[in-house]
Amino acid sequence: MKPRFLPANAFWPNKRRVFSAFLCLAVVMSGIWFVAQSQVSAQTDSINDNNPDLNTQLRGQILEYQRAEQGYKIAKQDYMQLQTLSSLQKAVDTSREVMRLRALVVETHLRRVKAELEVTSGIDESIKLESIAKLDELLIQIGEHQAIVSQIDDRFKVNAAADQFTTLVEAAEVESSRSVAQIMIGRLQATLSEGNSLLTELADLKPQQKQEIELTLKQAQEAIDQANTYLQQQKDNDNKQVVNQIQKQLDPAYVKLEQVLSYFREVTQS
Amino acid sequence: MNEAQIPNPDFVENQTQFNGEGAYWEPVTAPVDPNPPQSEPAAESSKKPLSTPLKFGLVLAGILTVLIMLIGVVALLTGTNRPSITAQPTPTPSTQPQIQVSSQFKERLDQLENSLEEAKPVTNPMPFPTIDKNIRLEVEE
Repeated sequence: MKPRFLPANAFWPNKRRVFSAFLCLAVVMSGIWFVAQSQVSAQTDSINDNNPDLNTQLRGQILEYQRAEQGYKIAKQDYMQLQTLSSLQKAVDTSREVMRLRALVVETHLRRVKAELEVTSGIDESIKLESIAKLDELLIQIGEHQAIVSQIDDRFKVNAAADQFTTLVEAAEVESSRSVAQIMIGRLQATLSEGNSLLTELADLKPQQKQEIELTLKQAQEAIDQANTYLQQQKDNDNKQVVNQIQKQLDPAYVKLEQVLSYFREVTQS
Repeated sequence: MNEAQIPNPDFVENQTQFNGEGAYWEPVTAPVDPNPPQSEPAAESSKKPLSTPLKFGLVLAGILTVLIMLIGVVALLTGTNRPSITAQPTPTPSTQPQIQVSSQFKERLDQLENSLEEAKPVTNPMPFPTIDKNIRLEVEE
């Protein structure tokens, strides 16, 4: 039987298809990477905090954690399917690593919140100190958790550390939410105080104009006070969403302060 | 005469035509155009298959377009930093006449504006990092 030879160019379409497929895959992977980067960025850049170092640090740690998490998932799946000693060992090792990085991410986030809280004016000093003390306490607990994680060498210790972390992360989330809410309140309160200060310097204002600005500032203050009261009421509730509720309560105060700013611009022609 | 048999005056080409005497139909042929339109050379060239690099380029451009749109949609959907306030403050009532103030006061006013911009309440400006809270290795009984 005669061997049948295909012309050389008959292979080209396949090669090109493979090349095209690789190129498309590269484009898609780039897109996924871009989206992942955006999400990490959204987690770390969404506040104008005064700690660019902590911000950068956190961003790097989140990326590192995400990579370790993928490794852990694969190793765990292998262990579930194979049930061999080597797959178990790998699952334990990757679990230890991902737990270490996870604790590190939470620690850096809390440190960032604490640093922001410390520099934010407009927060009642006793409330601020109380929150900082709670954050410090959580940071100590995370340190203890990290020590436990570093000693993980079997699956029982993995699960014991997991149980400990469950309680810890719940408390961390609640305190983080409360602290960020205080930061938001403090920033608006500081702006309002500055507005009051500027008003006192405008001696040439007509009484009617002054009254209008005072009334708007008062309304802003009332909205801030309400938000503050609500936050204090939530003190004993493990409310992780308190920051979102505070944000809604602060909206009217923000609008009133914008009005005050417009008043000032108008009367001073600046 | 049955309505279904009424001839359509436009019904000409390769069909039969009513002969006007009401009795029968006779076949007709379409009028022949003495100057039939010449087939355009462009039509011939349009039948040519696209070259592989061109095809590849078109496919790549399509993929890129879809990808960019997807990224845009994802970015819109996952945006967490959108301010909740959409309404602008209403214009203040007229407070004429204006007051002359020092440049220092104007600077402080600018600072106030910046502070207010930073203090804008947004949906959780410092979100808790997204982490897997359930990392564990199940132990078989």
